[in-house]
Amino acid sequence: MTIRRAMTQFRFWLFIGNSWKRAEYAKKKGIFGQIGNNSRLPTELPLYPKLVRVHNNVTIHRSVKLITHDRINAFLMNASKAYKFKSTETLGPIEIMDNVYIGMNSVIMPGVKIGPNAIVSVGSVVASDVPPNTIVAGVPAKVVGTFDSLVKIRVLQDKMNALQFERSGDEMINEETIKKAWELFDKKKNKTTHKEENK
Amino acid sequence: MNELIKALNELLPTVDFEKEKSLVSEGILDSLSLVSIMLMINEVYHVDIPVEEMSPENFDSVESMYALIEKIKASSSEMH
Repeated sequence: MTIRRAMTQFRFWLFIGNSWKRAEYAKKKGIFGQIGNNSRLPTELPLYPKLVRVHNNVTIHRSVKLITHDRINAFLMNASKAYKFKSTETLGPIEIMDNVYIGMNSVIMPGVKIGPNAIVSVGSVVASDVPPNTIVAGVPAKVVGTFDSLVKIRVLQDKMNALQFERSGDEMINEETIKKAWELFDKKKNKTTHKEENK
Repeated sequence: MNELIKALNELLPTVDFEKEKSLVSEGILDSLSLVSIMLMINEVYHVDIPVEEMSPENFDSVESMYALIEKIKASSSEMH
């Protein structure tokens, strides 16, 4: 790891609670291939940030890994007797289009293009392109819904008495909210398990 | 109507669709279940539910879901 890379990674960790600041810093220093407006970056710097293009309104959870290369050939060099591999590295840029959300602990593989208007669910491993206006989930990530359906569901939740509250800066929830969360949880579980028992 | 109940029971066997009258208000249906219900309605009834109709009342019971489907069907046939 070069000193410059280590310094950048260190700065990225310093901005742990503020992914916008991370993006601002990366943009100012020209670290990535491209960074659009109002986008948020993960804490882990990809090995080759210049191979990553992030467009506008992109939210990437801080735990997401963007993989821009693979070193399998270096392993095969010793492991495979069938062919004499050289210690090469295969590169793969990643392009993330406008209005994309990438959920916690997802992994984006080299050579992938995502979106626009796409959601990558928690823990997905995105090994192939994500079509526009879709929700993908799983390992490997597959289309499970449309962006439009998510909007509709959230409109519905917004209108009902769901557990929503204005997030405060200190990332704390009060006693009342905690109580309400458990009440709603228990109520729902009692309803759904009741039917199973009756069967 | 019975057809809709049957389809919903197949889709989400743990939910009592005939008995429950506040499926959304009480949080019995989570967001993923609602997505699958919307997809099913779209597939079976060829009805695309507009954003304006996304309200708890329209999804709280099988009756209200059925009424919503009929309403959208009627309004779309008026337009043609």
